[in-house]
Amino acid sequence: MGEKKVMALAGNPNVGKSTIFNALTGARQHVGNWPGKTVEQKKGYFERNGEKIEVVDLPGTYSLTAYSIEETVARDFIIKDKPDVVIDILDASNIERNLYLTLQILELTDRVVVALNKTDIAEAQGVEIDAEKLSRLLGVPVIPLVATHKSGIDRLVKTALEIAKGEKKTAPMKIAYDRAVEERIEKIEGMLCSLPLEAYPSRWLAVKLLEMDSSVVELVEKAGGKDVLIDIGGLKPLEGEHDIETIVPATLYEIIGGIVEKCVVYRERGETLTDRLDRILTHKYLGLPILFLVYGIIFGITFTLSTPLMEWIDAGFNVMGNATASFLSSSGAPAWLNGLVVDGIIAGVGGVMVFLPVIILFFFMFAIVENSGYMARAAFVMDRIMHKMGLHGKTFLPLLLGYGCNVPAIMATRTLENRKDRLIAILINPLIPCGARLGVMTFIVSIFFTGLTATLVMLSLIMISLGLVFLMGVLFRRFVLPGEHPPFLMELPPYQMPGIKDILIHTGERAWIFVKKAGTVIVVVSIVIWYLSNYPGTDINGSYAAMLGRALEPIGSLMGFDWRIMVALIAGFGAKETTITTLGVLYASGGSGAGFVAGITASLTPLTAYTFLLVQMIYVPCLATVAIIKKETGSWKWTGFAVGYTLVLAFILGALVYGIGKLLGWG
Amino acid sequence: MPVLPLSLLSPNQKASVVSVSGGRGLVKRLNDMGFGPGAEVVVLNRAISGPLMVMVRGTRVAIGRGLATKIMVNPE
Repeated sequence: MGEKKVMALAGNPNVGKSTIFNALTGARQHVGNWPGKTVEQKKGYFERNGEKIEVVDLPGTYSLTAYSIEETVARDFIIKDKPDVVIDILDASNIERNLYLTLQILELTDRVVVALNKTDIAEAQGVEIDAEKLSRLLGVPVIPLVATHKSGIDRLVKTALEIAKGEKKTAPMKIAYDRAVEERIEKIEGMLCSLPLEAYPSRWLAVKLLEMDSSVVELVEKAGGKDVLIDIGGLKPLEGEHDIETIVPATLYEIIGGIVEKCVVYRERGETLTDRLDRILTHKYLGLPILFLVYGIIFGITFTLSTPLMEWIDAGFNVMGNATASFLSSSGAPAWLNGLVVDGIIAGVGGVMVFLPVIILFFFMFAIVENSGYMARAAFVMDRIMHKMGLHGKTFLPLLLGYGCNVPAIMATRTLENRKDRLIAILINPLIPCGARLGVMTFIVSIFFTGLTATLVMLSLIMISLGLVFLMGVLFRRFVLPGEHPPFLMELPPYQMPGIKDILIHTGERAWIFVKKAGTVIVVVSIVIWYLSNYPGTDINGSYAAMLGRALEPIGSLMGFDWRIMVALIAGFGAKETTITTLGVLYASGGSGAGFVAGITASLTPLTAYTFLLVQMIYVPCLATVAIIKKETGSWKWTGFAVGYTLVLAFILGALVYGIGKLLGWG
Repeated sequence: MPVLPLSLLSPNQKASVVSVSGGRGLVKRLNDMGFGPGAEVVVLNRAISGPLMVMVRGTRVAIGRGLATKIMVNPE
């Protein structure tokens, strides 16, 4: 047995790459980040004849230039990590554009097998591909498959392993550019041979240097090739109407045109389902109402289904807390230990785990919408509105994701290529109330309001947050990060039936990230809160928390908040879910053991409750979000700005709403 | 037919790309997405404002109006 074999999956976005990844690895996968990069990395394992094989899912890209982090990551992995085999996944119904990446991969490595996915959809659309002929032309094996039905996967794995072990040799086609370009390539190759760059295919380096690919230029510079770069700069410019940025892609597409002509037959194409659906879903008038309807259904289902589940989990943690308390006291444990375990850890973690159903349901629904192909249409429909704010249509997706959790949402702004666009998208994202804050809101609303009023209160809060997102978007674009309107360019994949396995795995991943957060940050914060609210005095009124809260009460009083609310807001920085836990601890123990609901309703008027909800919705993003803002912006200045502006905005709005409410006699 | 920007092409009218202008990165990006010279394009969806939906090399692509003015096409 040799070393562990590594397979890399490459392909355009939307080709069914993750379906194949999931089919290969099942649940044995690990989600992390590429070293030093903010791009998600998925790795997984599977076994074949007792041999463990590692599968690395490369980011979905259209090309392998250095213009986006994703493309650089995919390219560097193929060049530097030298996987034993690259499985290049093509969407058979979209072969022309997909082959563009294939040709670029073939320039980098000969250990390639092509997986021709979605052959069923292609056939339905009247596209027939001669896989054998395609394989002969490309010089690498081509395996047709329908990943959603697992058909062809076995053959794909077998062929991939043969290539990985060197049992099967490939002879990838050579890409020939026109004479003038070829002459230059040859010249540059000659200049490069003196440099220590043996690890790289020299022809590929030459082409990239002609294109002035920034990371290859840097690579050559580091390898001591400054003179080479100067010589290349001195080459005569190409004659003719097009420059090199156009010639290289044009040559690739020309070759693809030839391939397609030889091995693809297009039968008369009738109207497809996607054509019909798009006519309605992206309709100039119907598009937007449909979008809001879809949006409404997602939240409706999430909250309706999650409410009973949340109650069960809450009850479960209560039972566990009580059982632990009686066990500890009967076994003679000291009172502080009892308090720490039951009121600190169990109550704290329980208060967070209550939100698990919301997270799971939301990501489940979100994955369905994304998987079906509708999400790209949402960006298309929203671009007109986003454009008015000077934002990119793609900003809409991260904003929507923010309702689940701002952390992945801020990570999702990576799809925006322009740094200013990205910064604005990151800065406004915390204004979207995440699942945790929505949970706090739903919970408090259900205590203070009933029936239609409750729904309206909830809606008003969400509308305010949306209004703020738009307002801040415009302001930031206008005054903080002025710039041109960003270019909008994205693929709209054909609609498809979402694959249940992919959705479940995706949902599981998100839920796990949340549980991990609960297990780490939130346990610590819960313990800190418990300590602060129980020491040094004998009851909460003499505690550190009370002192801190009382010190902040002058600010709070502008919004009608007592010290307990100020403490809860501070605690909420650790994780927004803990706001409720803290209120629970403070109001339940502060009264005469009357319990949380009775305690809080006695202490707050509906107006203060509403103001509290508004403030907790807007003020400072949680610890995890702040951490991710720092990571994604790479700047303390912008992180500080995000924290600062949300805090100021929340307190101004809170004071305004409370003041006006008081004047109107709602207090 | 005269050459015109993609943003002005009527819906369902076939055309072929003549040239793409703009910065280096943008031109490369458009070429990568299939909007290179010679590519056949059809506008599928066009509202009064907002992005266009274009079929290019068998793929539906949403493209902002500003970007679409940078692609010159020759209607068939």
